[in-house]
Amino acid sequence: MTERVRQLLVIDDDPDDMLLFQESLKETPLKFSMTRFHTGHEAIAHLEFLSMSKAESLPDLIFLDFQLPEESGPDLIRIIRANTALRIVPIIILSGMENPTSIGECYLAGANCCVPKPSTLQEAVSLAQAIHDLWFSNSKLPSDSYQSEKNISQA
Amino acid sequence: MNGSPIHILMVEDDEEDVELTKESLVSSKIALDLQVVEDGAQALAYLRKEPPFEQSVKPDLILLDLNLPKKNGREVLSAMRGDSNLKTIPVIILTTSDQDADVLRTYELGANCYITKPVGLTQFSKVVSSIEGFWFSIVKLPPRESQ
Repeated sequence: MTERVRQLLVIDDDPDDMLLFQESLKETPLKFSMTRFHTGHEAIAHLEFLSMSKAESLPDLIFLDFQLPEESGPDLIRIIRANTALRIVPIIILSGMENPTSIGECYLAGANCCVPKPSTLQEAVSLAQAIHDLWFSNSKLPSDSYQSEKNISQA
Repeated sequence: MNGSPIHILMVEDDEEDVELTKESLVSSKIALDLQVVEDGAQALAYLRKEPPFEQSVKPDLILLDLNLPKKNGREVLSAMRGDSNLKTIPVIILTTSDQDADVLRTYELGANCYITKPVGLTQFSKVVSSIEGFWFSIVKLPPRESQ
């Protein structure tokens, strides 16, 4: 498996939750760089800026907190999915106690999956390990294909 | 999922891959109901409860091969995403293809995840375990009533 540093973009208004997630990912073999935003509109502005550049500058995965104070998770997903360059970047929703209808809305808007937001260190480490094993050890991400195309064109 | 098993539909024409998947899941602590169909046309008939699948249970998640007889995986995925009744069912592509064009195109069509089948029992089992450890154990799947 490739050893390249993975670019993760996290949108969450709670700095403690972000730190817990970041520290948990450090417990896995994943090499990553995390760009963090506290609001959806800041993240969207950043993503739209990146989308005008090369595909390989886009994040490998986006983690989005469902419960942002002023923005709805499904609305943010729809904005990201409406951008041609961003529409295939996988989005993982970190959700709290949302009702099943809200979970359904996230999938309908184009989320790749919803996972419960961890509240303890043990939950966070389990989630980080499962994310590492599924998405970074065994899956092919769109970013793997951009990278391969880049390598081929450079060869 | 409120105590009832997670219903999984595997769309796969390679019997060996089906057996390897079943073997890898046999010791699972999660209650799973794995149904298998062998081609893309059967998959859509199953999902739409068309004969001979009138009694089928709508799956919570689909494991979809790309290279299939009758209708290929891309056609199945595309038909599902255009069908309001099937649109939100998570689809994990499980294929031998590691072509970049296949990866990018299936994500564009709305695949939730793309996994390349490894060679060898041990590696295959590892992949199935990672699917189980994430998709069957952690992920909040779409509610059944909204599907």
